[in-house]
Amino acid sequence: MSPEQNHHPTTDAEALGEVRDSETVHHASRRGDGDRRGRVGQLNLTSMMDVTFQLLIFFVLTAAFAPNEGVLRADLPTGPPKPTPVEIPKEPIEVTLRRHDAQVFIDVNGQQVGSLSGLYDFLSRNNQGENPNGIYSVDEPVVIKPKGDVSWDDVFGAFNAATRAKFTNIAFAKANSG
Amino acid sequence: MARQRRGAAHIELNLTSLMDVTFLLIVFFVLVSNFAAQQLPQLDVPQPDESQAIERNRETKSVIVSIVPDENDRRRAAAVHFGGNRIPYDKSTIGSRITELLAGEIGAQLELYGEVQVDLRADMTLDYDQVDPVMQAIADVKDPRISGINRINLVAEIEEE
Repeated sequence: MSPEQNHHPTTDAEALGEVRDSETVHHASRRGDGDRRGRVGQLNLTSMMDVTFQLLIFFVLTAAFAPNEGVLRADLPTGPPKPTPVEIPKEPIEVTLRRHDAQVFIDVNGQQVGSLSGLYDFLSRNNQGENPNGIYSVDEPVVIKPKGDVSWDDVFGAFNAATRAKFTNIAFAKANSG
Repeated sequence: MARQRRGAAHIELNLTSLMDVTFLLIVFFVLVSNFAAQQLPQLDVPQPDESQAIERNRETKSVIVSIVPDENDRRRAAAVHFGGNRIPYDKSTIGSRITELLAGEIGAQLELYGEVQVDLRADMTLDYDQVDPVMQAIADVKDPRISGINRINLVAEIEEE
């Protein structure tokens, strides 16, 4: 038996001293006795914080807020509407859109109404649902006929103007390049 | 020596409240992040004055058809996206390709949900002659379970209150 094995340390401090002497790397035992007793029940949150911050950064970077988009129901350009058997087919209100120098010009049945706000004014003024002296009924078909080079924003603007003027039957015509 | 040891112990921060705040932030971002929206291609939908557009009906399943503009010429379309498909915009073939692939997509949705609506999401800068063939193609989709698609939803920005 070696003398080291015979020696029993009497206190913890002595035992710690022995560990230090033997050059064993032992992080937990470096601190004093009182220290260890005071820290009972306290978790080391550092690594948890690391993970939590990683998660936080991930969600901050990937968060995509729902876009502010809505919908308007529309009829597809499928040729002229089918006439109902009892009613005489109505003459559609033709809204023609032309583009000239990045500006849009609008005609309604050949009558110039100018811009999109002009179109709304014209349609709401002539809609019987809005104005009793109007010449069009609310279910009168409105056909939007844009030239091919008119931007989608303006085409949609015309559709929106007709919807806003309370027309219920709005459709698109095929693009014509003339 | 004893003093030094005690000093070292005092530097430690109490991270509990920091953790509380961080978890609250995480919960917030988990709840608000909209993963579905990420699948939609980035584009600017029309922003009309006095927009009449209404909130999407989330009860009914919709196939969202997006028309993405060309980066170099935003009046021309670059591709059409829907479901997992991305179809490069080629004027001569785009119509038939959309009709063919969209029929499959709509068939699958009908199988699952019994009804389906189509949302058209086109960039505001596109010319109408780029959007029109896509609308024609959607109208040409045939499925024996539905009489044909003659109404779609046009996507635009909602008027801010």
